[in-house]
Amino acid sequence: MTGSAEMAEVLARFAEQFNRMPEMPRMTQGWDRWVVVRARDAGWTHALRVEGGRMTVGPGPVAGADITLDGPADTLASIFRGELSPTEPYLDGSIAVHSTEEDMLKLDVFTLMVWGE
Amino acid sequence: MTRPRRVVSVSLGSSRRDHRAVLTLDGVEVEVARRGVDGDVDAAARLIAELDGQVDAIGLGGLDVHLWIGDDHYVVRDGLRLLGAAQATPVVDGSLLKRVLEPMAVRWLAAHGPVELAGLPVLMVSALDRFGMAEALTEAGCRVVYGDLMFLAGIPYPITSLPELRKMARRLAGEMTRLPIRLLYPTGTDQERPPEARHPEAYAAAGLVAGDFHLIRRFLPPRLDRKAVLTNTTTGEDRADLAARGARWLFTTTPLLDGRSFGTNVLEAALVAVLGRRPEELRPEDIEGLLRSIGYRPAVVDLPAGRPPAGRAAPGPMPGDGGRP
Repeated sequence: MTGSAEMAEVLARFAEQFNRMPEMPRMTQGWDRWVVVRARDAGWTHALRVEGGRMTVGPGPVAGADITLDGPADTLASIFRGELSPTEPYLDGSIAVHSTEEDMLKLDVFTLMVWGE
Repeated sequence: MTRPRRVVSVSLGSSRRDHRAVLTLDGVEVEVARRGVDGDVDAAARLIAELDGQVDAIGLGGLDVHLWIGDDHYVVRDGLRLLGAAQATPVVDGSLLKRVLEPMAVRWLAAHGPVELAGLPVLMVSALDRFGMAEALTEAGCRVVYGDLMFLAGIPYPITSLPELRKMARRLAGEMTRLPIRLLYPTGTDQERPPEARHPEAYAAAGLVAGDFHLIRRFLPPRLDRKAVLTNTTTGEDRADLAARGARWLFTTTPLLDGRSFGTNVLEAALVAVLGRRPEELRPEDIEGLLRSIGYRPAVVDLPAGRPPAGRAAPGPMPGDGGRP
């Protein structure tokens, strides 16, 4: 099972990729959000902050998060490693996304942008 | 005498727009009826199953099943389920016809339309569902902004070239097409909600607004002064609304019948019914040939006058752009 330290590394790599993309500042203009990633099976919570077009990673939980992803640690890790698209586990119910539909869609797009074709 | 054909268009759109009409294709009379299911995908599947074997062809409206981005092909999951709801009667989404019809329409407009397309700034609210139109507008010399991310996903990023559009499609389309259609596209009663302006600056910068009409309408700004609109399906109410916002020209890619332009799914279903072929047996050349045989051209409506123009009319100058419509 993906442990908390390993997930922190996965998210750090994801944020690094995100921040390398020249399109992201424009794409996320006006979209400053807290994204919480929570694995109940592993007992860890991490947080991503998107602000001013850049992404940073920190410990969770965060009060008033805009988006919370709840799911098994390995599934969440696979999503942020780019091994698994977020769509399938969302549709089959293995992860839950607590947010507005608009925010969920945007996060989906940004994740796909980061991991590419 | 050839027997008349019956075609039903099952639309995810509003049932308020239901209608019936008779059209003649290649000398064959086709009775077409539209039945909206108000965005309910399950109800659409049930209706298609009921119609299976009862009509000559079924059109699927309100969503595209097949998206063609150049040679790349994507299939919308919700749509695939609906195509499979009938076993005997062919079900088509209009995407093949659209691939042929829309570039033809743009080429016709470039040669004969009332607006000079070369150099014209164009906003395509979405291009992934009509890549043929996007390519044809570029070939005609338009300066096109593709609004797929802006209007489908609410992401303020205008795509400004076909290569960039292809790149985005390769990254996103495979996954996006697996999402429930309602997340991406107005269906059912969402099609009737009053427009909420989104990215009015993009509409303002365009001389021509192009793309799916439900999407154009969903995010319309209050004014469209002297602009042209290139789209697929409109009603008299839509045309009155565009005229009230100051739009100058309306170009619809499907011909006006009984005062209404039918969706490509309706026409493709009618073609399949008339030709008596399975949809997978149709080739773009078949469709192009038939369209040429019926003298196809897009409809051009002079919105302030509420009718087609008498001849090729020069559009009036637009404020601040040196006379471009």
